[in-house]
Amino acid sequence: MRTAALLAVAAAFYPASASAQQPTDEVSVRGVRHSHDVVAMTVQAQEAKTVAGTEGDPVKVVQDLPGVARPSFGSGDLIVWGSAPRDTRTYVDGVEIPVLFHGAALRSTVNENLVQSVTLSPGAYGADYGRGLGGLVQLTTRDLPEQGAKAYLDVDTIDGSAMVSGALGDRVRIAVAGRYGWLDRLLPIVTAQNVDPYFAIPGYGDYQSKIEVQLGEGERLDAVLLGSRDDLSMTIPDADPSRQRSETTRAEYQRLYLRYRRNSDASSVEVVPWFGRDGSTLNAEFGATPDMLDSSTWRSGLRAMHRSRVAPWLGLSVGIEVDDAQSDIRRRGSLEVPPREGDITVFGQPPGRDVNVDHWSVGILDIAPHGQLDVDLGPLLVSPGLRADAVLTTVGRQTPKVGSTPSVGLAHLDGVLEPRIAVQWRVTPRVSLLGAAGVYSQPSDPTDLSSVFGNPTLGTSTAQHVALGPSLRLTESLRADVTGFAKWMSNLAVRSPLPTPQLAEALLPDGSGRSYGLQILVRQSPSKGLSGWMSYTLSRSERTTPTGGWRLFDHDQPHILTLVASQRVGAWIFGTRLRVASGLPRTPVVGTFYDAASDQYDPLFGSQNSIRLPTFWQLDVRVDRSLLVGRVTVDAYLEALNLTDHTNGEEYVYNIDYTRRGTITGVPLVAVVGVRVDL
Amino acid sequence: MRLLLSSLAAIATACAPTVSSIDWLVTAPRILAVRAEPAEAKPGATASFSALIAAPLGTSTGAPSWSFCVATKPLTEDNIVSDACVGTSALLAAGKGATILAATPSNACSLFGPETQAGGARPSDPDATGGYYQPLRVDLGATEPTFTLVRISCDLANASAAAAATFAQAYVPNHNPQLLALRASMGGSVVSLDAIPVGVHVSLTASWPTASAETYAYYDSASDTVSTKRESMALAWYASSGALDQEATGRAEGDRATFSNNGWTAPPSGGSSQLWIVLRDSRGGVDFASYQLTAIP
Repeated sequence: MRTAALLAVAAAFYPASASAQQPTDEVSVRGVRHSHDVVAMTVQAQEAKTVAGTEGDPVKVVQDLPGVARPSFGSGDLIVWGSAPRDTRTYVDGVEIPVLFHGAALRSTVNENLVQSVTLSPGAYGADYGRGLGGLVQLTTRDLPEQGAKAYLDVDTIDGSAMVSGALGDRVRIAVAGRYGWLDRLLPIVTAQNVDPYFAIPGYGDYQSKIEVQLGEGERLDAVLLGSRDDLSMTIPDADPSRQRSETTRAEYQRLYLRYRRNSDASSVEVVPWFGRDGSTLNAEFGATPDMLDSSTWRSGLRAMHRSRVAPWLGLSVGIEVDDAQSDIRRRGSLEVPPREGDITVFGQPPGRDVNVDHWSVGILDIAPHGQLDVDLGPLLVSPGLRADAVLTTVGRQTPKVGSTPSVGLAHLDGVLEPRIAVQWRVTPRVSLLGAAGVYSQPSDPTDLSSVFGNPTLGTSTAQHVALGPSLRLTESLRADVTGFAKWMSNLAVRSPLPTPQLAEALLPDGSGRSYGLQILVRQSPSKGLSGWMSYTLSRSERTTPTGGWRLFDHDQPHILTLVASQRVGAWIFGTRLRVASGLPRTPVVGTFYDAASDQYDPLFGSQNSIRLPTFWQLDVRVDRSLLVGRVTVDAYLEALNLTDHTNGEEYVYNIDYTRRGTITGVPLVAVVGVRVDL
Repeated sequence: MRLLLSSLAAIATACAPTVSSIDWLVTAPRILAVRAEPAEAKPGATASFSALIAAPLGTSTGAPSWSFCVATKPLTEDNIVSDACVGTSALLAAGKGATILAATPSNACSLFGPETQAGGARPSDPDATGGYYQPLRVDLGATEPTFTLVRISCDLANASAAAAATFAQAYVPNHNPQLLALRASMGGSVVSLDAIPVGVHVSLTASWPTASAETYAYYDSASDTVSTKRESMALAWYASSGALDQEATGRAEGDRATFSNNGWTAPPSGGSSQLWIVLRDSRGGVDFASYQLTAIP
């Protein structure tokens, strides 16, 4: 008998025949969401929100999944299997959103009560997704209650959120939710210290609305609206205005999509047209040197998929993904800001004095038909697939502006064929062997296509992923997976190494990368109130350019150990989380010289990324208690983050002449209390 | 609520770095500033370059040696000069002594400015004041090298003919600012620099003529227009003993005040202390002065 995970896969492809076999007491699955997504891990929201350290936000569990590195302090970046943060894509019901978290992963940008499950595919996933060299994070929204009206109010030290949902007749259900973060306003009340330079707290908020319409038997239409914004403002004052620093950032997105689904005995159809906008603004000043990057992008797209059972042993999936992004971007400041992966710098180092300016537009239209077969050969399930990404990139200006001369744009079309395959071999009822491989591509980042700050001719980057390993079912609820993985990346945009680069070639597509490692996952699916997992990832990620040798990736983290456990005892839930992670690489300062023009010192560096920050470890605990008061359910929780008050060194910082090095330390023992009221 | 508040306070105080530095205290010979006269000139023009060398009282210093950096900084390096100039592979000797006369390299505008050597090459970017700079290295004994940036007059990059003509007509090359005499006061009363009571805190006021903070023409490539900006002023303070309140003070571009205050606490042991003040304008102009402060019982 196959595991619940494989049953879930079968259900996805053969809805009618498999649904009767779906276990009803299983709330989470491991392994294969689709048969061609063999290294994905899915966590149901109900389980995820009891994990210590998530403050009840199920999406935050992503950071605890195998293969995910701990990001640098104060960052919500997702670093998956050694890929750069912006190479990993995040989706809600198949619609891409630009950011998963508010601020430094304080909270997810999608209301936790709308989330049904969180799935992480660290790599080697199927042909229905693409446009990224890294991993995938997929959120699915939950079905709304079929009867009556429900509401909840959730308040803790970080923010407050609320949601109202109800059924309008037999066919229509509706929900509205919102959240407002107040930590940025609470902190100044309790402390007069300026915390901004090292632990800036953004103001944030988000909103969601969902309408479900049951069109007929097995046929449904959802309309979903998502929105999120983050605001951050900080100033580091100085008696010398030329040393004063200030920064204001704003990031927001909106999405509106329809999701049509129709399931029948032999096939299923899903069509998701969507529309939205991404916006981000950075305004900073380092003394008199400005730094501004303003980006506004109108997004639209379509995701359509048809799955059918051609024969009892053969499933066929065909679909198309269309993604259009029209960006308008303004930038003023130094080439060095924002920093790029591979830049050799130290925390707090002032940017260069150079200032330039550009205003450019970028259109990226990506049309990707894809298909996949699922060939069931008894113990062997083979899923070959093919995706073809055709990317039309248009840039409003191919050379820097000269006076008032009209701009001359350019357009280029890139096509990438991306074969993919996944294989599952059920060696014994308890042992399976899983393997997957594929080619992946990623369009250029519009902010890299400036003729002044980047290169408008940059094309798509590509990667090859391979994953292989056994899956062992130790008991009915306990399983172990061991996965070896490797990625090779090419055509990565990197800074030109030339002292005098060619015009409009500040960036070149000459970077390459490789990442390889092994991850071990032992997972206890919910059973007798106990759930959790232990994951360990051993990896190495490197980058190179034609003029340099291989070096460690800026986010390389060779050892990541995570232990998560929750135990329900009556109305109580006790949870704990232990995280241990290697420190990120840093480049040592081996000397200095005095800059008499600015009265500051400049560092001289040793071998790139040849030292590391201290190893991080932290123990968190969580206690949940549910109370039923009449018709009202009250859930209260207390989380103690960093229970042992361990001092983690999060970043190196130097004195003014770089003769002494210290560390910025992480968050000490912190308690977070929250109350949730369900009506 | 108590738990909540203490937790938030913990977050707020968690992250302070553990290093600090007292850069204003001069304990060994070092170069504090370099002044070019004229402050801005065409490449190839001869200028005088003077170094402000600070040392504790009674300490002797050797003569510094000077050299121009002739390597363009790649985009992969974040310092103000190329690593090649921190080594010795891209230096052009300019002289030796506390003050030298030297001509800046005639190709400075192509190395460090908008004039590209080869067709189709990317020109260097100006600073926030629109200026381009020739790096100049000064070595004093075994101390770490010092670099300064000498402002050079180059043509505009990528400007229309009309904007270039307007700019050429309006732009006045930078002049060095001028420090006026330092004033010390205590409780509103003027204190003589050679009779400061030991252990007391005095207010020091550095000032400059209104004309030192010049207005200048600035070309905005985004709008292809020429506008007017005003220099900001920055003061760096150094002392051989005692305690300065701030190591740097100044006035922003829009601040019309022509003075800047700092505080100095005389050493309780008394005696003479050396004080150095460096005034920099935002276009690279420099003036400096040194004073002997005497603390008496």
